[in-house]
Amino acid sequence: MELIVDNATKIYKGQVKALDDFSLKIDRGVLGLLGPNGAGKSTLMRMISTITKPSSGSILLDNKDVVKHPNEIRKIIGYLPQNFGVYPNLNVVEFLEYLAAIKGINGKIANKRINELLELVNLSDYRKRPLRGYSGGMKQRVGIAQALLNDPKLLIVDEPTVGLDPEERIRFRNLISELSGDRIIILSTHIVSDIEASATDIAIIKKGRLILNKSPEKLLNEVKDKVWEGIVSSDMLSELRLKHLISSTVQSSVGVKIRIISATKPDFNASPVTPYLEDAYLYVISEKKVGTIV
Amino acid sequence: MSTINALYHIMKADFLERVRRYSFIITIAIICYIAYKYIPSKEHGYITLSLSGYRGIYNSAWIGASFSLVTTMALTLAGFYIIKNSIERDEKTKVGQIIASTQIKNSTYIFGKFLSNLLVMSFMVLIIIVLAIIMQLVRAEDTAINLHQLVAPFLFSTMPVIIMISAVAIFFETVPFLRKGFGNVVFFICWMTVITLVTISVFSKDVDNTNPQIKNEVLGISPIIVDMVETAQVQCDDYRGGFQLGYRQVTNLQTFVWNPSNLYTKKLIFKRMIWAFPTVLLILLTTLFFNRFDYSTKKILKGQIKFKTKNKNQEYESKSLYSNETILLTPINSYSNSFIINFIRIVKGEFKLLVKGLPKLWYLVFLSLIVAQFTTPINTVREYVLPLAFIWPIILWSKIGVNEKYYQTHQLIFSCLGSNTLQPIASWMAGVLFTFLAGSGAAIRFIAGGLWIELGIFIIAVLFITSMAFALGVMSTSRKLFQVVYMLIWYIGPLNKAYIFDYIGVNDESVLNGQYLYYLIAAILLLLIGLVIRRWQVVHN
Repeated sequence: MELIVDNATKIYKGQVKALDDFSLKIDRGVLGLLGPNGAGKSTLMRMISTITKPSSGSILLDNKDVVKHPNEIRKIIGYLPQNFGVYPNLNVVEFLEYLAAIKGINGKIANKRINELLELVNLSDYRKRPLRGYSGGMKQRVGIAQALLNDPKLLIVDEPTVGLDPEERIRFRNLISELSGDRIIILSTHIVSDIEASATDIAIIKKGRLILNKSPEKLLNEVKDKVWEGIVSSDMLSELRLKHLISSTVQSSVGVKIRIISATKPDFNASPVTPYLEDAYLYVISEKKVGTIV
Repeated sequence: MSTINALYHIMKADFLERVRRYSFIITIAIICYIAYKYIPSKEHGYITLSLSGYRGIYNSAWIGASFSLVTTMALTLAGFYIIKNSIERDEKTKVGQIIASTQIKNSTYIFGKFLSNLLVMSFMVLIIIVLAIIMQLVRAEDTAINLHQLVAPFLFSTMPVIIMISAVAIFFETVPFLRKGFGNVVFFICWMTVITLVTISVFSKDVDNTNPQIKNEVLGISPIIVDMVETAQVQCDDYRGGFQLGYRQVTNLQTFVWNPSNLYTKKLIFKRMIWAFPTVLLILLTTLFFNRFDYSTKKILKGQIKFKTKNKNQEYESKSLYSNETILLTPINSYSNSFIINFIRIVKGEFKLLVKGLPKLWYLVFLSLIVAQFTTPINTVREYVLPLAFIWPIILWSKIGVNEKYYQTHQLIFSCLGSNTLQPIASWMAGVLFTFLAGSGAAIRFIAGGLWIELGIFIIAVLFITSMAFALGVMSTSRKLFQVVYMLIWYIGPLNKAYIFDYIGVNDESVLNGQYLYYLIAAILLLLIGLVIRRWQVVHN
């Protein structure tokens, strides 16, 4: 299975360009879609999910244009939007049964799968309770369950860890890893750690344009020998911010532990360290490469 | 000073947010169209404000007063529904949460919202005044503009009511059980009652409308009506009384000059100002009801114990982790084979969505109305029970076609295989089944009695109600439009037996005229319009 976004542009009312001549080829595996807020990640996902159409360009699934034939993608998609609601007077089983019917899933298989998914997201004990009483995290789990209802070959999850507590986030990341295989999973986030463990490919979007599309290893190569750590005094910090791209700062009893991304050795007692994906992301996304306050 | 500053900014932000919406522009366009049709020329063959076939020439006094009369009647009803979303918007956009965490006093917030309502309504009145001037010049029966005579009826008749409605809208938004659909119905009943009481009060001793009296009534329309009738009696020899507001065909239109010199005396103006007191009291009362966007306190009034155990909004405590066990998910290799079985499953889901979530008392009344259809004489069923059964579920019907946007599930649903046609048709079908259920007693009686025409009209009514709910819901993505339009049609048709609007067949005249056929066509058209709009929404969301 192959999904191609070909020169897609999306212009909203008021001439706001959310995506600008965007092209991307997506194969099996987990694609981590990274970018700052407002980069166009959600627009891209909404377009692939057939929720909205591109203003120009096309989206091809195995060479079939899904803009013209949206049902081709709707048959195989599982979509978890960034913001979604639930019907407050239904319980979770009724809600999932309803969505399963709209997705066209066979009734008996749907019932079986609903039970399994409720076990998976640990909502079995609340199956008879109206959804109005669910917390934000529980609703997010309902969203995850509905996205997996039809055993999707293409799973699109937009900011899936919003509203989940730290433990739930870890479990969700593991779940994504387990689900990959012969599926395409597109996971959009601006939190790098969400995709660190599971992404087989990373695409970075900024201002509606694709900045980079590489494997995590190749992305890390971008900052090889460019990440430095050292201890500096608080007074030096402002000066260093003007000169370098700072990835993190941690206060300690001896000063501020600082992590810098720089092609050359900084002019203080810094040592080279192993780069993280977050360093690479910052390096790619930063325009000036210096002065970023994290 | 800071309070005034806060008031000003609440009013300004709310006003700008409203007038910059497309719906407001559409409302203004509708007002312009109605204003044009409201002042017909002599050649048009109809009048809208008639004294038994007479009307005043279109001078400033007549134009101002007639526009003021219709503005008072229309804005007290439609205006209420237009402005009754001020606090709701803050709740939906979550701005209310931010406001609640600030130092602003409840009274300041409520008064600011009241002022915003008033500003929106006044803005509409101002547009109507401008339209009145334009229409006077367009019809050109008397082109001399007398601003005092044109504006005075708006100022002294319309504005006091507008002020009151601005406060009533805030009150309805704040009192928990009046906030949503039930409140819309309650207001409509209140409006009908006030209109009826004012009419009875002004024409109390006079069934033929020949001698109306000036009363201190809330709408402030009696001084205009009395002066118009008295002038017509002096100027028009064969005028024998009568005053009608609304569309009326005339073949032999006659005019007279209505130019009142002193319509609003100081005493009268003072009496109109007295109506400000209940408004102030209502605003104060609203402040007491305002919960500052904290809906966890919703049930406190019903008792602390119930609140602790059965608070609807209380969140369940949940296990925070995903299952620790390894769960094997059943693979899905094929989709539902039977289209019909799948469609039935969606209808079932839509039906549940429709009927769930109302208080037990509502279902009790609903069932009582079905039982009454079996137990009362068939004529009573046709004239009274069925019309009641066809107004009681108005809140449920208004959910049809709206749920996806209302509950923000549209992104989940619009990305599904059946979102284009299957789901919207299923939603309509669930509405049809439910409406059949609401009138099932009558339907069985019609079948048992061999009343096939009545049964046919009943089926058409079922289709018409559901299609209208579906189309207006999809079109407006709001429950309010259907509630208001349907209540108006029900009030004029089945309740007042005006045969043109009698979609249930209460009036024999409507049955004889074959009115039901028009409603069948309307039902089909509305369904198609709804489906086309929904398809467009799915594609262009």
